Amino acid sequence: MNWIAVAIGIVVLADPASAEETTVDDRQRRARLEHFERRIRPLLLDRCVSCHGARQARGDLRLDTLAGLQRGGQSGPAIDLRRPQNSRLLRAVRRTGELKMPPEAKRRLSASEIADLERWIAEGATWPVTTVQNHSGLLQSDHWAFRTVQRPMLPMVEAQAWPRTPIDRFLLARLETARLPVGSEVGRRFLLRRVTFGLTGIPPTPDELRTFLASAAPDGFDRVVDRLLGSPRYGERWARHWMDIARYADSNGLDENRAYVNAFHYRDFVIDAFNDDLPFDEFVRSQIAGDLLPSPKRPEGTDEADWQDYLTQLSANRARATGFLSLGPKGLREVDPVKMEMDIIDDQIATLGKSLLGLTLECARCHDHKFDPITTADYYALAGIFKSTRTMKQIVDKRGKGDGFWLEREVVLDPQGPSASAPVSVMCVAEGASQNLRIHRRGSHLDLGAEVRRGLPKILTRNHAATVIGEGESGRLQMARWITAPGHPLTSRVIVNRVWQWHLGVGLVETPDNFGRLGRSPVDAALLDWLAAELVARDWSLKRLHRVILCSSSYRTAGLPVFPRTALSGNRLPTALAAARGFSRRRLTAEEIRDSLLFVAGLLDTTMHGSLLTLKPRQYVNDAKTGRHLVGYDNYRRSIYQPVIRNKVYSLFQMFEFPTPSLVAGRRATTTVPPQMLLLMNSELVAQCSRAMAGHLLQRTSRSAGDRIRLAYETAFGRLPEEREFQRTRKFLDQFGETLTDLDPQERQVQTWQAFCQALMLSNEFVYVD
Amino acid sequence: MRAELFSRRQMLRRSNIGFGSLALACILGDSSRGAVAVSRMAGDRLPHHPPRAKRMIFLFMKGGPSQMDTFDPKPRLQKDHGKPLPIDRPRLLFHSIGDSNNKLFASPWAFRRHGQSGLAVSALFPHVASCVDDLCVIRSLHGTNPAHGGATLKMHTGSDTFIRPSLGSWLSYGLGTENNNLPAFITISPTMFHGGVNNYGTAFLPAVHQGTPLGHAGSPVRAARFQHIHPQLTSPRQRLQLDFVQDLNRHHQQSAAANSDLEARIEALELAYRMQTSAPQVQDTTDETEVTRRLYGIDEEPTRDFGYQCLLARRFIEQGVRMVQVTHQNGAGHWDQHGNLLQRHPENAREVDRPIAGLLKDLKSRGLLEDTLVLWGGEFGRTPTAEEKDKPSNNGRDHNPSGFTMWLAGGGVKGGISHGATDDYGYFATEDKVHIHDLHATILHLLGLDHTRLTYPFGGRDFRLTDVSGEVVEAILA
Repeated sequence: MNWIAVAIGIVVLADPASAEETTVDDRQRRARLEHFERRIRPLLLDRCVSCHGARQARGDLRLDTLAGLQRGGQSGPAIDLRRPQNSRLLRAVRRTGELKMPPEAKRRLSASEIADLERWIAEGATWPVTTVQNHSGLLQSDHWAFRTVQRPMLPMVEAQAWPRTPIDRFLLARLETARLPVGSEVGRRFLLRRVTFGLTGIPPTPDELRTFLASAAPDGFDRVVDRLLGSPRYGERWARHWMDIARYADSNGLDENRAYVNAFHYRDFVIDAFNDDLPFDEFVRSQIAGDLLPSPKRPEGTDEADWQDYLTQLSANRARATGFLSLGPKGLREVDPVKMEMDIIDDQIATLGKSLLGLTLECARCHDHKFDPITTADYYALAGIFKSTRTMKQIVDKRGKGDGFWLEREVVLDPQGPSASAPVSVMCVAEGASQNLRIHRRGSHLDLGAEVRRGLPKILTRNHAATVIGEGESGRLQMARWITAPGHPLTSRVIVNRVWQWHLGVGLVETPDNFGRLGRSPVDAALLDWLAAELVARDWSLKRLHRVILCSSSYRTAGLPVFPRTALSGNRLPTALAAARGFSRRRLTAEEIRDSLLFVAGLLDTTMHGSLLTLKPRQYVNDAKTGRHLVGYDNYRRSIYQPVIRNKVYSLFQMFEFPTPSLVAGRRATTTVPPQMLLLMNSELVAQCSRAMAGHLLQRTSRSAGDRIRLAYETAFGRLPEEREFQRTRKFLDQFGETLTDLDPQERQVQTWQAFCQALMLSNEFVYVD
Repeated sequence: MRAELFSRRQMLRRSNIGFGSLALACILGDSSRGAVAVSRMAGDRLPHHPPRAKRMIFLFMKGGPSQMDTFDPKPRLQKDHGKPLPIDRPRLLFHSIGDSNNKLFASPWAFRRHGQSGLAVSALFPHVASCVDDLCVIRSLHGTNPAHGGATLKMHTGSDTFIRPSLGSWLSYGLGTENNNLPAFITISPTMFHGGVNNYGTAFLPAVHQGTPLGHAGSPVRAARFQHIHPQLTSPRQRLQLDFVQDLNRHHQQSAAANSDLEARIEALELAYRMQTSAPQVQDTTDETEVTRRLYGIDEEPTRDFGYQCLLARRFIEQGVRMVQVTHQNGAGHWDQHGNLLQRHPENAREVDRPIAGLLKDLKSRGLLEDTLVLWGGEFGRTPTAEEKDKPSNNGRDHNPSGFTMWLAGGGVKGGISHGATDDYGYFATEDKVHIHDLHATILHLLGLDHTRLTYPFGGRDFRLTDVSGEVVEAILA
């Protein structure tokens, strides 16, 4: 339920349009180019260029180059920059004179399209340096994201004492150049809460707080970071980040909602991978081609039986990892089996592109990418790899009707465990019959063009080649190796940027899923490259990357708001970098809110792994007769284990901006709307949590009311109450108790303390981290 | 901080399209992280042009009512009953594969002309027939997907291939709400099947634009409540508690740096408190007269539940809700008569006929019809051929997205007309074809929005409801 209460609704999202501080002229030209790219280029391509282009130029007129427009055709120049309104092009599309274009009335330009053209000509017919269709002109290998990562030198800084880790030197250098002071260090209790939520998604306990505050060791905080990275809660928190971009769900959810009852094995793989610090390159390779990776050689001196068990487990892990490719939304009742398959392939390409490469490859399904150098040939080369891969066990039923069912495989996850004899089914992919695809014109499988050899995007393989795909191979293995090769320009940059953003709120590249030309440029390219190079040099260890960020001085600075914005803009420091130089206040995510409620109530069940779905394979998530939803969300397990049903996401998640689980979501929005408050005021979950928390406070009868209040504040906020708060709390407890005189004293006490605990849960401080 | 808040309120009051969410985004556009799509929309004033309708009600007939049995009379079909279909069937068929499923099946119901316009309506809809002069019947709708899931998603979101924002979410995004105590987009008894929540979901639009469900198909709407609307505490106790919370919040704000997010949350709490009374008030229909209740058929079966849904739709739009969807789905079968058309289509029609006519008449008598757009129809129509399954006596029709009927009424459309046509048998749309994208473009147009300019950036480009297609159907505009 989302009401719009606009007077207070605030939506915070990445603003995709570039707004870096540049000169007026620059900005104007950018705006004009953007107008051209968004309105004019598509218009010319769609309505004009088929007759007035490189292939044919009717009336000797070409509308695919600026020169062509200026030179014009048989009747004269198409545009008149001195008297824009007089331009022949405009007269033709207005259809007022003899010349009416395009000739087919159905394809005539709308009033707004004509207005777009008028504006464009009036503003000087700004044209980028390439021609409209010539994609080779767009093959700009000098786009920053396609350049090889170069490890930069660490910048020189004046304040030598401030940096704790190398990233501090990059940020400090920028601040010193801009003559801005470094932020002040945040209080220790804030810092503990910040890092504990950041790494584990739950608040610190009062004991952890007391220990940290009491410790005077200079490396006290570094030890906290190590402790948290070693906690199983870390993998659960960070697996969820990855699942946002892996568009994880437990149902197919496009048309009719069937249960992916074995998807959870992929989730368990991701949790374990983060906890075990599986090198990121291996993590990615496993997800793309886990079934094809060769087994390692047995090291000298290992026991043969142990080694075999290890290999069994490795192969099971790698199989469940490939669930990544299979988890996407699927229209399983699609009547056209070819379309069903191509849609599934499209999801795989889109997910692969955005999540790992930061590229919107899927745009090229129907036409050459309008902004990035990705052609339809590139798309169908990739699609050929997936076409040669089996994702589905069945696409149609016996009668030839659309009735898809995904591929699964039995594996033994724990050869030495008690369940060794019981193999489990995991969602996976496998090699299929290798084949190339023909280009699907305008994305239609009914209109086929030239065949393309399966392979990888040209622009990305010019400086960074992949091994040749042999006959009989899908090419997935080559793709996996290519993406995770140390020299790949995108993979390492994209992941370090994500990790940065997940810690600090805003990425160095503010568009985490788009590193293409429409994405933002990095606010500090050297820092981004240093992080990327460092990740690769440190064996792709994410835990090391965390330490570099978290143990920095930058991470400890107080929130951004204390930093005057005017000073920033006056000194031309991009806002993203300003955000990066210190942690800015953030609201907890949906999962953190639920886990925190359960945690402070002492109800959180920390059992790991497994599935909470009670459905059978192939069973619908909704009852066929009534449509009633068959998945329950009432449990006290960590939120990562809540089933994700694409057509019916758990309402608490929905309300607090859990991402649409069919789309790669590199960033979550934060909105503030009344239904969130209604949930916290009136839901059964919060009633249970507040009552349980009250029960804990009241457990020991020897505890004084004052002690209880202090413990409650420590539990909920990670701090003791100030005197004024303390007095206000006592007053509230008295007042509330007086309204319950009809109850017996014990129940009155419980309800009063429950109301107090719920008040803490409702407060701003509970859901914000500073 | 108070001063800043005051000025924001003032600006909102000045905004002439109500509390438009986009307008708000512009106001807050200097937020450090940037607000939604402001830069993209900055040049565009919303609405783009004067709207003919301010709000919309979609009466969704889940399952696909048959056009040749309701609003699209086909004399030739009546004559050729039992003969094989003389034209090629579409490339993709849902069920009725094979020659035995290729015989023409005449409509069992007679059509009669009604009203001054003389538009023909079948005997299934006697009450709606009495409103025929307000209807704009489009007989040439067409889509592509012959399966329920895909077709339902296409009708609601414009895409049967990807998860995309629904029509109501786009309207909410473009126009906001006129009552900030209620959601902009409410869907009453939505189907949980065939796309389910995705039919009123936001996909990549901000979550605030998600449709708010009231109940779900298959359970009586009278018992349905918005989630979490019932206070767990009595009002005075809750007030005591919230006063305490707000003191905590103010204390927190003093120690933390000033921040509009925190301020917004303080206000959200107060609004939520008020909503607990305002939303149930709209649902409490005891203030409606006996005449009104009869008009909607609320006091009798089989119209009780759908009548109540339609009445709620009127009450919500009266309160400023931008879009209300009402779904008719009686059990699992709904309007999906692959067999037993003779019994089930009349049952379905009886449940909705009087309530729909009641809604149209009620809107009209209250002066609301002129700026409220009403849309009626299913996700597709049905085939003129009989689906025989195993026995010829099975009287059913298969899914048909190639040609079907929907009608519009009210806000800005001509009344008493039909637009477009199907072939002699009613299988394919042939004249003045209206694609689902065209329908969407027309709806947005009537609500003051240019479908090519109502866009949202996602994954590297701008998206719109109509993708790269859609033409406004000028001929039906009043």
